[in-house]
Amino acid sequence: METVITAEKLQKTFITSGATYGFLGSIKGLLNPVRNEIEAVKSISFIVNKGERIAFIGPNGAGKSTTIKMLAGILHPTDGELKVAGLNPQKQRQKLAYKIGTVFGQKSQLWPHLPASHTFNLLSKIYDLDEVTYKKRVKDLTEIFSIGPFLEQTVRKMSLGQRMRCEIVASLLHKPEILFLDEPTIGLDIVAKSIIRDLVKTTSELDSTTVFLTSHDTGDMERVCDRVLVINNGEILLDNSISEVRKSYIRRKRITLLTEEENVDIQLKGVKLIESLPHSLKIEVDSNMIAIDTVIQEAFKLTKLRDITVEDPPMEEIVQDIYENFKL
Amino acid sequence: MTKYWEFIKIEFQQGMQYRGAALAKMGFYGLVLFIFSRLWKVVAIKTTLSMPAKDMLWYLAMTELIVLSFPLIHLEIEEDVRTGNLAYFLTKPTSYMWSRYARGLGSVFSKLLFLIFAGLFFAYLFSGGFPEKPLGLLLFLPLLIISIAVYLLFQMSIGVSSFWIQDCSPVYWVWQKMSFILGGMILPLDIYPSWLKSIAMNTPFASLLYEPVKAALTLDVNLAFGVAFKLFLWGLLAIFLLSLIYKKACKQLVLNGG
Repeated sequence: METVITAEKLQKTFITSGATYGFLGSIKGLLNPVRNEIEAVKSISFIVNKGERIAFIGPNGAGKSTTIKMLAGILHPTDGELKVAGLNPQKQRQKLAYKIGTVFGQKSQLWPHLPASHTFNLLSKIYDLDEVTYKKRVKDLTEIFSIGPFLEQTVRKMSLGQRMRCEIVASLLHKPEILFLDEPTIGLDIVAKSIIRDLVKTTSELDSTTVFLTSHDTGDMERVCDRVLVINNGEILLDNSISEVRKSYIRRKRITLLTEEENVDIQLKGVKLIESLPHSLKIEVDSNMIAIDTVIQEAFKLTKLRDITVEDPPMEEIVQDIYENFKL
Repeated sequence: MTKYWEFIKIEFQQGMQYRGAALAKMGFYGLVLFIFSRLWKVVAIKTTLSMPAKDMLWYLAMTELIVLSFPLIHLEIEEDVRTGNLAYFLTKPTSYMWSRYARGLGSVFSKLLFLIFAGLFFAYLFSGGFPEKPLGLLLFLPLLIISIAVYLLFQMSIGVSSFWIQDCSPVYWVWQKMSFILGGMILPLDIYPSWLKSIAMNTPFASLLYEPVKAALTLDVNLAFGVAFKLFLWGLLAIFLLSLIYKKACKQLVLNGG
């Protein structure tokens, strides 16, 4: 499989001014500033293959955005080797720009006082798209992203969800090989988030675009990506497929039982009650402590069962488990 | 090059949306010219000015036109860094520096469209006619464009310094005040003490404001060519300075917001 991103021992250290306190402290800080070194990314290595959809997750200050900005050629690494789409992002930034697309949540590339179509026209010229290709691409993306109704509306009058769809279209106009998304669903409501996730996945599948996504929202990772990289304190803690992560980190299962009898109570070690209604019982089972079938058998002893549902816990809890496992 | 022309076009289109701001600027321009027209009339009675009172007002109208048409490009660059929006521009197959410059020109052209007419109207109204050599107004147009083009480069150098210092307003404040004083924005340098005039003439400020206007009002074509050449040299220096700062700044860039 073709490798599109190779990061080897990638490092980034920022030098910042230390905080000073009080009047004398600020005078002292002005005359003799204290410089602090912050290792935002500490020697990380990974590769990404063509068409993969990577979730790059971690808590605040983990080094996610710094890494994505180094991959996109915006920030210069302090040390390490980097190759994106066969190019050195820092030395060949403008060449690389033709091969990548970027979406940064809470930032905008659209001209606020003009309709989004004006920015699209500008981008078509910037990316040297010929008129026919550009028109077709805009038409296709307008349909997929359903932006037709507000394409000619001034950007500042759009809702955040509408604007975000236009931002992504703007980043996809030139059919990039790799799409970097930095917190693309931040601030969006559930419906808008869901639309954005589906659209990113759909376009990635259609164009075989590699997706590199950073997010705090595990829904983004679950709905869009097929592989996850967990980073904290500038180090990669976990690199695995989403399905493997699910398998390895799902110790708990959620079981919902619809019972004949009223108010059934299962008292077993490793079983935690989540919700109890007269004919319904929702419990969480720690599979390391007790087998699922043991719990079900115990339930059968107490009552006849109308229905049984066994679910994985939400992705958020799985990520929490990962974090706890690595003591983040 | 056509890519940057597109930046000029889109920024011009966006500039045309700010009708309220344009009207406010025109109002301010008119007010300044009105106040100085009264002032120069009194001064002209009491003392001898370096040029007729009417031309003194046209002088101010022209220097003000240059100053008022500048966009706050240094603040826009600072905001790109502060908000992290720079990340978008740096991932495009264009130079951030030159695309910002092109956008600055687009913004200037949108402002000039209103301000040229306002300047002509107010200066004519308050001075009671055209300058002594009205053809000089035509000579002023190309000098105006060159002056603005060079001024923008210096302004951008100040803006790019925000890659390091985060807040470039104090640097711009000093630059702006130097422009007013050494550029002779309100008073032509001819009435300055000779030592101060000779200092001013060796700075870019005089070439950016005083000299283009002086060449236009005196309809001195030789001086106009001389000024254009001087501005060209200052422009080269500004490009060198800007490239140097930008190259160093990019390597040490710290983008806010993640």
